[in-house]
Amino acid sequence: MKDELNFGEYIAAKRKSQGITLRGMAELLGIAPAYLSDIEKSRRYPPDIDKLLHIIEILKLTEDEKNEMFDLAGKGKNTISPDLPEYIMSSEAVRIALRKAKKVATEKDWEEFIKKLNEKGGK
Amino acid sequence: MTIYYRTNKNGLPYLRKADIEAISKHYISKFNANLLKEAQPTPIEELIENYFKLEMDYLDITKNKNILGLTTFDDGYIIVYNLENHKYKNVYEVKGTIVVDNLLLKNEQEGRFRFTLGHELSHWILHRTMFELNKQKSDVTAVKCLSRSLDNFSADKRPVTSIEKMEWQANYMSACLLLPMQTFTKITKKMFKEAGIKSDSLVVGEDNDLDMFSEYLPIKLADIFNVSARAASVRLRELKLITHIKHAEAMLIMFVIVHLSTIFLGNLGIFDLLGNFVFS
Repeated sequence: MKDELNFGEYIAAKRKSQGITLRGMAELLGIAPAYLSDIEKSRRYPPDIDKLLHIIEILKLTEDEKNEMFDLAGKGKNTISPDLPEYIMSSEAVRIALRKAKKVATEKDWEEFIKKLNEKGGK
Repeated sequence: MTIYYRTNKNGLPYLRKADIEAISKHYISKFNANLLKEAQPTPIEELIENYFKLEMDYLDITKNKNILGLTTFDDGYIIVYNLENHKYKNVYEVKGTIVVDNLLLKNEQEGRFRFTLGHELSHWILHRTMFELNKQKSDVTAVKCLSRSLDNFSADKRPVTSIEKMEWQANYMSACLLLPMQTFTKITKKMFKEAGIKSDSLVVGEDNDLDMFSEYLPIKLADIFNVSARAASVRLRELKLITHIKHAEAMLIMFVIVHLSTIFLGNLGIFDLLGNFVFS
């Protein structure tokens, strides 16, 4: 069900489940209520990474919810999830790995890699 | 809770002030019973969004700010004004959306803002059935409230047309929601007592000190309930906590006329007259 929501609907649903009003949320974010309303109703694109991080903080999103929100934010702008570009550009190894994976990696390879990372522990 | 009421042929409910008070009290006590015990601002935004689960929107509705609020009763497009490119545009809203003009978000407009919220919520509660009934006949999906209707909430002018009656009902209910009778009366009487006023009602125009107190009272109440002083002032008069001497004299004269007419004319027309009296 959640996958069918767009970014605006998603953050609106999250704030409503906590009883935060539209104007209240806008005030916490330091933006105009009209602007937040436009975002929630998909009249405007999802905001940039700074506001997204602020939203995460206010709504106290879990790790999974965070990632879901980032993906929706990316989709909402027809671009990559905003939490990823910085990481990809931060290290050459990451880019080398990604480019190689693009050529030869299978879904199974990735599943194994994810398993290995999970074993490493940490969030 | 069921309140039986008649409607006119358009579906507009016939509601007395007591009916509106009762409906208002019902919802407030269901939302938070403490609101009827301790004087405090009614959390009208939370009532709208969390209890009634209505959608809020903030827009520039018109260029010249003569529409400050609207409520949608169906999914559909409403026409609003885009201040950026000076054009009117269509905006899609879902059923059950309250739209408030951005003007009311300014700091000094808070009382007006809250009153408008109460007013629009009241349309949703009292009038959505009427809109649903008229759906086939007209493609009107929303009620748009002129700022002059929202500001005209004194009881001096009697509403005549269906729209005027609708706006009157929404104004009256907004006052009931934001200034619940129970707590408003209780705290006013407490303030009377503290000021040494013995009666349950303050008559203005008799005594200078009392007159001054009567000016200060709505300001203090406005502060406690977070409404405009004007709204508090109107409510004081509506609940007969304050009467103006001219009005008191008029009421006395009316009473005498009614009494005399019953003696000379029998029961003919007495209830019509009484009906008038109660309303004003």
